Amino acid sequence: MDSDLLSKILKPLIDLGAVAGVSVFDRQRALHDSLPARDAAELRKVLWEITDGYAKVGRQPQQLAFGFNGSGLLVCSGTHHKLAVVLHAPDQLEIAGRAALAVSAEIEREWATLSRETNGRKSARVRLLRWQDCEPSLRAVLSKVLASAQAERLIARELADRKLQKDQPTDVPQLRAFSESLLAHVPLKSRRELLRAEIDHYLETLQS
Amino acid sequence: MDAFTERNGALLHASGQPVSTTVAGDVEYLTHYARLIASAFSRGGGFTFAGIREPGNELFFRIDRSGALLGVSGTGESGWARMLHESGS
Repeated sequence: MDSDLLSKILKPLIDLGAVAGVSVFDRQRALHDSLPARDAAELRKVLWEITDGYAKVGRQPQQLAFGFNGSGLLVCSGTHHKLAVVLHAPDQLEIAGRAALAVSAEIEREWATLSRETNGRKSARVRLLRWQDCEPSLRAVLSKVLASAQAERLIARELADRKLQKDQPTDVPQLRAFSESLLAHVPLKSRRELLRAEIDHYLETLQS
Repeated sequence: MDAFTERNGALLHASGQPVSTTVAGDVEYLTHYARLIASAFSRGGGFTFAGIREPGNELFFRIDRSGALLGVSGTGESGWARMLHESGS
């Protein structure tokens, strides 16, 4: 999530004036962290552990609170993230707790929107992949060990054998199977391995 | 919200009835983690309260100056606000 957007979402909470530090984090990393903790990474791990324990028995706490001498810690749980808030004084717990719940809900909404957009882009990329888009790259790879005209004939014959039209859509698994058939026509094993590595690299670029 | 206290190592309502196993389990679970968190914050004095909010339910308990545990659980007005007010935090 964009740090400017996150700062904007957190602003109403920070503006309460009762907040000594905030962390927004998922299981892998902190997206924002200003917690005054000795070991913030360990603390984040412990907070996941607490809610994981509840999840095992089918419970989903919206918020947890812990108080210490002169300060408090609030923890809000979303599906994808946690929001931890350290307070200057525990008497702000109720007000800050309500504000933190609202902020956490907004982070969750933004997170869901971003996930949908990212997944949508990936789907669009897969839908747009056609044989004619991939043929030049496959031909270029084969041409490293075969004559260019021979590489072109091999691909054309394989497409015909599989009754494929060049404007038909394809995907990485189909391309991988298609490439294996092409490699069977390359005589030397060492050359086949070289080309297989090149093709694997090309297929990875299609997935990234 | 139902109030409870710790007496002779047991968590009891004012009526003398023991709290539910869920409440007792939550108090034990949150106390364990509150101590861990206090350590992460270098708060040598330990923790003073812990609470949980989930749909339709709240639990909040605090340790008073004498070390006794006082808590509330259930639905209704916020147990967090009430207990903090009563403790003078």
